[in-house]
Amino acid sequence: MKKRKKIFLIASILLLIGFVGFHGRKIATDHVQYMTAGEPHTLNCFSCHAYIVRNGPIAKMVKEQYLSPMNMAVSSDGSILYVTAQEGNKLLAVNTTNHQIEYSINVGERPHTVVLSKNGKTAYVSNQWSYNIFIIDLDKRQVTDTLITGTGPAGMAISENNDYLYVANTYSSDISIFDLNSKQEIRRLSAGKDPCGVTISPDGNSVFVSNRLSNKVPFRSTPKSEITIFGTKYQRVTHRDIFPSATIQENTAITPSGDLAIVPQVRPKNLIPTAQVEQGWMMNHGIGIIDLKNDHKKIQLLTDEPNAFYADPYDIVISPDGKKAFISHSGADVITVLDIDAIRNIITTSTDEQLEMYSNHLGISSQFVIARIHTGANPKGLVLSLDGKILYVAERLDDKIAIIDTKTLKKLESIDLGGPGMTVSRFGQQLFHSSGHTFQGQYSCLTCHPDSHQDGLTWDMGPDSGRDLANTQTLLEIDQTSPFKWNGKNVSVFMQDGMRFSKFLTRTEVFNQKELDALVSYILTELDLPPNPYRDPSGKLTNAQQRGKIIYERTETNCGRVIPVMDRCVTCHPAPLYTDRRQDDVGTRKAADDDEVFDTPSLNNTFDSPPYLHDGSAFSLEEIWTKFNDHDEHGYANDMTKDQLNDLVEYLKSLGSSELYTDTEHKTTEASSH
Amino acid sequence: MKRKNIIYIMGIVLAVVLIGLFSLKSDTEPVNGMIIFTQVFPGTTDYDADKARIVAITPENDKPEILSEGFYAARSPVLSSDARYILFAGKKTMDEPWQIWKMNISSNETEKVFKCKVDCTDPAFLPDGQILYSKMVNVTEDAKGFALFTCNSDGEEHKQITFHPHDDLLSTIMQDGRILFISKQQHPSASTPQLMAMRPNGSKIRLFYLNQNNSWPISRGKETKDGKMVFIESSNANEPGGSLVSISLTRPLHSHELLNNDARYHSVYPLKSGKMIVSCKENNAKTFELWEFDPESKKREKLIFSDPDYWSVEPIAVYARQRPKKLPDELNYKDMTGRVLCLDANNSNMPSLNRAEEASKGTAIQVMGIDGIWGEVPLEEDGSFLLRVTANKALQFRTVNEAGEVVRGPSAWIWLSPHERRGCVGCHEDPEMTPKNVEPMAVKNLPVEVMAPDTQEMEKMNKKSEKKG
Repeated sequence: MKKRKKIFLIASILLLIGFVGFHGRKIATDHVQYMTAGEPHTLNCFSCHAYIVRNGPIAKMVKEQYLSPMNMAVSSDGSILYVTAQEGNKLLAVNTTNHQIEYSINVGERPHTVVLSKNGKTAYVSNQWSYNIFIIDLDKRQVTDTLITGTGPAGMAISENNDYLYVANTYSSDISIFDLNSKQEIRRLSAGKDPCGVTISPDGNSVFVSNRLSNKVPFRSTPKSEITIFGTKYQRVTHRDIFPSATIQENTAITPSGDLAIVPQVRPKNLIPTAQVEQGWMMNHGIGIIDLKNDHKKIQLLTDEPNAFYADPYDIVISPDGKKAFISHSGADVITVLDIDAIRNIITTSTDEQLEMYSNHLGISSQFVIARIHTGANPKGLVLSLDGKILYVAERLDDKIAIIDTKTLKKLESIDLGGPGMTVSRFGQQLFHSSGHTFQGQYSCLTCHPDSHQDGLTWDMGPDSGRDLANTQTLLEIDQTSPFKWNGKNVSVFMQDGMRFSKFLTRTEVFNQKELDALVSYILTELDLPPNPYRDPSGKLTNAQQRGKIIYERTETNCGRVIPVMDRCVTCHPAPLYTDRRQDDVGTRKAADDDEVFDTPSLNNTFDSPPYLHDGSAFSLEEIWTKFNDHDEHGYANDMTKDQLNDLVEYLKSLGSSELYTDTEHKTTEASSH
Repeated sequence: MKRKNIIYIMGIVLAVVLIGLFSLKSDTEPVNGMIIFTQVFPGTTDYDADKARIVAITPENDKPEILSEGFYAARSPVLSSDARYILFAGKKTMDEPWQIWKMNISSNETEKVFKCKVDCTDPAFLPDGQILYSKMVNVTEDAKGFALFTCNSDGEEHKQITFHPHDDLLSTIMQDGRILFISKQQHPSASTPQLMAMRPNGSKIRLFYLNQNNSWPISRGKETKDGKMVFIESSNANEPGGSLVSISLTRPLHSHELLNNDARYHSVYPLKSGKMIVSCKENNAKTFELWEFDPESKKREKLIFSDPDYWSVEPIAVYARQRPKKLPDELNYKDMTGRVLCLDANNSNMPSLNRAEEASKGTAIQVMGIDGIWGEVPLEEDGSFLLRVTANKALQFRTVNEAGEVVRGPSAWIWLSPHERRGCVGCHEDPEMTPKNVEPMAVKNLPVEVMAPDTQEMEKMNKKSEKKG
């Protein structure tokens, strides 16, 4: 051994002895307890310094490519089940007889939905992060064409005559209509917020688009989510049916007789202090019903029970005879079976006052829920066999498809799609999507963070009722943006999701170390921001964005006076994270806020995070300066012209994470964080 | 080192390992298949009577082995989740109050958990290792009753967790981590016992089950694998036992199911197989026997044990079960107040007190303690109120109209634990109602303080002493 190596080895041993001998263990323990809210636990060095380092060697080593089946379609002869593998970026063709994957086709990023042409020869796959649709010739088993959509294409449907394809663009909140003969987008309709599912009425005359998030509503008023309905003849919106106090409306189903449209929904209680979880005080789940034969009357019924909640409803299908509806509860790992005649009976025999009361009654489900069928992890898309005898369920986080007998209402078996074994992050992903770690299963992490992002709601979560209102923040790419919470009091996600999380949010047993490691690993290494549609992939800015960048970085007012350093945008929001990770008073504190300073949020993909400010009081980026910056405390801005503000907003919308993880930028980030 | 020394050291190491393994085995292995139960003399309606004893039978030996040897009386055994220990109430002499004891099932070693000067009974293992029990206290100046207490496993740090003028007995721990217990109002008048649920720190007390048909629970509830709570219900206080019933855990108030009433049932315990052991006495029989019961066919299937000289009650099948969830404790014991938010005090299932319609709307809420009215607070326009009240003191609410007349109430007794936040949809509203998602007007202001008179006095005295200081 060379002398230098010997010295290094001896020094290392001495250092280790010194560390252990001279209170090193205590230092390490104190450090861990500080990072995790001071609760006694046994987190080890690996917890923070290995699994959760995005692109770090251990995170890379243990990373696996999962399939994550999302949505499905059955071939016209029933022999093949086409499955979108959301994380595998594939379309899988699964033989329904021998349960083998016959073939798979590579598709775009994050495939969401697959629909088949009426003759069954063509498949259309929406690639939610590629912002396009792949047209696949199923005989040739190859992609033959691409349709460019709005951003975040998700649910789709094909018209009865096979001439039109309707696509819900989740991120751009609109609906693309394609002429399938010319393969051109012929119309773009505005939807509600985050449209997701698309369904055609049995008579083929109307298309129903379910929207996940609430439309804009006045501050601290009831969220209102929309079902956008348009006619197939004139392709114009005919109804915007609104459900109050509802969000996460992912899909809609319509009875074969065409009398009822049913949409599963989350029923948040964001306007009420989170004093307790008991009695459904924080989150309910149910169905919204549009009585199509009765002037689109809206009815809401809960599918929860007084002591059991069925979180994160996702898909709904109705049996061909119109007797039963099946809803996948992706947080509860349950399929709920509804008796549609019983629902009709409630609607026809109840007064309006009774129906209003039922909308918040946890006992009403006993009148129309026939069964709860347990599934594997995170049931998402549902599809019935052509004869309606079998229900297929995408068990997304198990990489399996469950087979359920619709007569006995029993799960028969699961088709294993052959995903890899369980990694730390995958386990964390399951925990993130499971409501099993909240009291009575009332909600999962996903409930408030759909797509790991945010629900657009402001919650009354402070220790005192009506105070310290908090706008839900995104969880996407937050790995370098600590501290967390609007008041910046949580220095790590371990602290955020540890004992405090258990005391004040989940109100049930705290995650154990293995679970906490896994959950934090998932949150910090697996959650990516989708591509920013306002940013050219080459990085080139538009003229307006370039002008906005100059304003963003300016040092002088329009009058030529020097802007104090702390009043410049770029001071608190420096690239590439666009946060200095400090807490400041920017004049946005309200009378109901006990916190005096707020954490500076990252601005990456900020275009997609309305409402803004800690309490969600600003509807739009513009309002931050037009309504809440009277004294220029949130950046020197009152001298700006309307055009300048527009340019600034255009630039802000373009900020994304594309520059975050290149090698040079990564080094810059690391350096800036010390 | 010499060979002799090496052999010597190896021998010692081997001995230590063997002793360790042996003691580990004797301490940790649950005794599967054993059934533990209480035996009391026939004809006793209250098994508080003399010489109740705890015994065990095993598949190999159906002659009962007395586990409570050396006790004057012993009863109410409960099993730990790992099936290694039981807690029970016992007394060594006739005059001694009931004490809480712990027994290692394998070794029969017993230890008194703590010394109690009054009767302490009905113990249960809490998931975090603490022990729950009922203790005789003064529920009012004139009346005694049992309140629930917790203490550490070493018998230290006792905390009272129920504070209403009720008798709280026969607790069980549900898998969701909450305590379920039979609670019977004592003051101002006795009422029908009901099942109440709350968190182990005494917060979030809620009605769980109440039979509207003049029957009431008389045994510990036991949770089954298929999501039900089974227990015994009676409508006749003068006759021992009652009917075997079940309720669904997900909708307990409206899922009552009679499992069997062809005999008098005393107690029930679920078996691993999904069947149950029941203690029951057939009509005209002299003794309570242990039977295997099939909940599917709702029939007794097999006699397990019968003793003509004793009633055999309170069976426990010894097998390890999943530990209930450990619920976090969000209370702050330095803040001896709690906050209660009601969304609409006029939302109530209680009948209005024969007021004309215009006078039937409450405009204020009165907070009443056991000794009288603590204070009156106007309701917001939407009927909401937000109060900060003295913690750990029983209180009731009633609404009054503009003329000061009582409109509805008083409500059931509740209390707020230290620093507890509690929400109510209404005052005695349908308990299956969940809140409407509308911001209550009351939260726009700070909570109104309504303190118990003695607290007010104490605060006055504090202020006086501060001034003097």
